Amino acid sequence: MRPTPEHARALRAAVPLFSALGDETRLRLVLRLAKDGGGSTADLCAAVEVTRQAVSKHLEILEDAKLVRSRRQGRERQWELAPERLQDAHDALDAIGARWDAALRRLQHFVER
Amino acid sequence: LQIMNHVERDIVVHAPRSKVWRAITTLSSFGSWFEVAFDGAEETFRVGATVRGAITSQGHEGLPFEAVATVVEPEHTLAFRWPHLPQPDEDAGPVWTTVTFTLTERGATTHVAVREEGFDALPASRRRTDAERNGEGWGIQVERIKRFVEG
Repeated sequence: MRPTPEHARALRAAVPLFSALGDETRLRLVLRLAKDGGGSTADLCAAVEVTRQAVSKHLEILEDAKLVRSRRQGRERQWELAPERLQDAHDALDAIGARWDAALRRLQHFVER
Repeated sequence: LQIMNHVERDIVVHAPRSKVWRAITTLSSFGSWFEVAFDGAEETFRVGATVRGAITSQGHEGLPFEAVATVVEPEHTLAFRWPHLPQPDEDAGPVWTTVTFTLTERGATTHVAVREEGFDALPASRRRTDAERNGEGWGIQVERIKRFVEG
């Protein structure tokens, strides 16, 4: 519903996240990282069964959206989820839903009066 | 497997569908319950026409309201696109989402469903936030993700 300034900000922050997660492979990578608590690029390639090049690209997009973080460990890059971003997105949708609930109640009163 | 990036809400109204349809498509009525004062340039939602006004809700008075209808299927579907405008300190364009009202007759009552979607549409330029917070327990996060994902 019509956003308050705080809500508009939360929504805006969530948009790159929704965009990044609008892809099945990336969503599978996120779920995998959530389940295992982290993993190397090689672990993730094995988990989602796509090429290393493709996985690297997907992980970069997730990192851009700040959904995952990485650090180099020896020759491999280690990845982990940044789950607070998912919570932000969830909160933004909840706030919008609550506003629509309120608007629909006002519509109901308006029509039934 | 799909990310949940829409909002759906519904309500049953004790009124005939035609009455509910007028309440959502006639701008003076829409403005009453949605809390927006329209500028008077348009009387109803029409496909392709932009309607403008100002929010009258307490605490948010004067915020701009803008919407462009994309579907007007009498007594059944009203859809419009609207911008979620950035704050002055944000380096971003508006995020446009789509709102769809669907009316269904249920005896003497009307079921009203509203769906807002398009939260994955990137604005013209992205704002990068540097705020990083500490994560929480993984179990909770997995539950959250599961709730968040459908299919």
